Amino acid sequence: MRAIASLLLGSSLVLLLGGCSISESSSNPFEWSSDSTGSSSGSSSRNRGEEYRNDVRQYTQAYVQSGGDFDTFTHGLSGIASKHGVSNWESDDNTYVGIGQGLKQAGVTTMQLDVWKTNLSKGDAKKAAAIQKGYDSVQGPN
Amino acid sequence: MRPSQHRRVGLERVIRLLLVGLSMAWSAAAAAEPRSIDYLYIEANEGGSSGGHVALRFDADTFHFQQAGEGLLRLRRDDAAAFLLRYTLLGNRPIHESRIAVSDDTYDRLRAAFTRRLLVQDAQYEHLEALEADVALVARWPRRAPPEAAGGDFGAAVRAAGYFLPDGFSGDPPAGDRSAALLALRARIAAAYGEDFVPDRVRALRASLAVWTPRAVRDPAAPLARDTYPSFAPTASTTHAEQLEALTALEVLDAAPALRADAYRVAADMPGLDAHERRSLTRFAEELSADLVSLAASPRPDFGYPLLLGLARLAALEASLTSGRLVLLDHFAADAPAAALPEGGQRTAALDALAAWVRPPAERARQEFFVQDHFREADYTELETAWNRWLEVERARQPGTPLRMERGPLLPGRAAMRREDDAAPLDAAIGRGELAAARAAAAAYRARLAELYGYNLISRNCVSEIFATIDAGLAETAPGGSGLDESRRRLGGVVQTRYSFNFIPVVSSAAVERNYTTVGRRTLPSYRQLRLAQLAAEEPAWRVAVRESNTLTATAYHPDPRDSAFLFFTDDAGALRPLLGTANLLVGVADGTLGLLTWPADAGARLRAGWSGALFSLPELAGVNIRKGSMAYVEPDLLSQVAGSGAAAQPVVTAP
Repeated sequence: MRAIASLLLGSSLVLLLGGCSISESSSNPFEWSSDSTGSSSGSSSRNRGEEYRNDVRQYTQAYVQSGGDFDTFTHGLSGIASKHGVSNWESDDNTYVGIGQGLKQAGVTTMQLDVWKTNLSKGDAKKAAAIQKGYDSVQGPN
Repeated sequence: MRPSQHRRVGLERVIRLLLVGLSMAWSAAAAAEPRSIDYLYIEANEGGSSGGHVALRFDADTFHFQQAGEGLLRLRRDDAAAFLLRYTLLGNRPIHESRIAVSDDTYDRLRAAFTRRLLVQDAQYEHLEALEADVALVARWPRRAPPEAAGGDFGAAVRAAGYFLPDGFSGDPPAGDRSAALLALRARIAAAYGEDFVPDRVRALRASLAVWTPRAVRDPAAPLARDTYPSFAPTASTTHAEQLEALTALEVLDAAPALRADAYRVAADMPGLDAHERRSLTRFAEELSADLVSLAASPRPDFGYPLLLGLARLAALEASLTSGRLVLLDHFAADAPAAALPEGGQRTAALDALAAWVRPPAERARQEFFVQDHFREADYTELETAWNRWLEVERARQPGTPLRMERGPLLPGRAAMRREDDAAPLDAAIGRGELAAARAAAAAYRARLAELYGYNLISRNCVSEIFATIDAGLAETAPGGSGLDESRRRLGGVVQTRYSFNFIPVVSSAAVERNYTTVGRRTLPSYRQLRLAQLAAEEPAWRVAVRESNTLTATAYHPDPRDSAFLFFTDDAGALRPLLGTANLLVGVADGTLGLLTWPADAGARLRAGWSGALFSLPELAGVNIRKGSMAYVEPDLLSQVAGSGAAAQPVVTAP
């Protein structure tokens, strides 16, 4: 009897401790239909733009502080953008504003900022202005 | 209406008012605090989370750690309402929320810490996928000398090519109609960069691909860290894919074909485009065309996919304006998996519920898209995604039509196989060497990831990683100082998972309540609890209790096909649990035994369900409930309740 009780309690313990995380695969269409940024809770265009900008900002700050090179930076940017439904990040102003914000948070100086602006905007004044706008919008030194 | 009906309606109104009142009180309490974050403890259920689960919610974003296969843990960020749908309704699990009061600064820092960790981890895992793709690419790359030569035609899937080209396409222009919009775009690009611009780029890419062969990554990756963004050079598979996408995009631009007939969907049963929408689409097509002119000349190595996708979307906009109806690209891949739906009347009910869930976002996305002054790709992607899901549900109503699903990135990527007749073959010995190197690189990197994210029941699980991320975020605020001191100062205390039982989800929830500055606690009921409360308001309690106690007669149970075999619900059984658990055990054993006979016909489904059912009955004999049953679908009225609870209020979109 004691052995059976031990077995029951032991199996309960094993199952209770048996992994508190669920694996990702699902064949339930409700889960599938809610698997996009904001579509189920009614995220607006403004919110979507802000969410994308925030991720670009975080990414830029993390990347710059980790010391990566420029080519790989733009490659990573494509990955970030795709998760927000953007394939052509070069045509979205939020990209450049977010980069500017991230550069400021990473502690980039104004001189370094000019290099980033030149490399990213490629002579497009509107893009350069968006980066500057993002940079100026973050409070802090520099 | 009879008096008894008046009473039922009255009680129902009371319950609804109560639920709304609780939500408003919760929201009001939250609004009075500067900021707050919510610690969520999700009760156990059978499957991969039999010990429960935990998450941390920042307004509309919920962060949590899941097992990602091969014993690795991965951070996820889910929409708050989608998270509740998945766990409380479909998963049928109550969620216990503890609201932690924090300052604006603490909120921002912690949210940034979780976001950063997510982005870093995504990049690290994506590199593993790239290395594994290298192995696949080298393995099938043509060899110069038999017998190691790869058999059959060599080809590669090109994202978004499927909107214009069939599988097995080469570089030759496709036959068929031309798209006027793409012809006009081609002329614009020629005017901007010269007539030879596109042909020259095509020639250069073909020449590059003709001599290109894959080379495995040999340099060991730099040390990985949780909060240091990694910098990886593109691997062979990435470079190869980008070159093919670029070449295909430019060839399509040059040929300007119309969309394939199976590449798009028409909202035929929905209202046609009104005058405002037509004007907007005309403007958007012009803006998209201008973007594509710039993109065609972009030095980005990965310009090919966005250009191909942009061409397809431009053609879809053209088709919309021509037909007067919304025409959108079909998001689903040719081999998209099909949803496991119930049969018969339950299938219709499931599709009705799903339509009620996906229709509002589709209508909202349409409204919102046409309010904008300028074309924003993210808004168009949202429109495509939402409408594809709705149209797919409506399509699946036809008998014998599966309901396709497409998870993951929002961007459409209908691929087509490109034949690579000119690929430079590898020398057999070199090929073997590259394959061995590619496998070694992938294995070594996977081992590095396991060091960082390998799942451990006690020391590295969904609970410990939440608090590790909190600690890391707070430690940044006090360089050289103590993360523990910062935790006490900013959160009111410390929750440690090492050398304690706090790694267990339910225990961690109590620890949060005990140690942090919590200003509220509430429990979100599970699907079954909500439905039983509704039923109890309409019928005698004894009738509801008897009918809803078992899986044979319960109306508040739409079984998920993956559920184990059981007879009685025991989450609310109290003292009867061991008795009912005994019945469940017998049912599980019987079903599992029968499964041995049905194995050839059902691929072992009944066998698994039976013995799994028996296993999860064992705790019930000891008075412990884990299994609660999961739902294949839920009713629309409960969906709207979930959508309104927990997530931030959204602005109403109005047309100009």
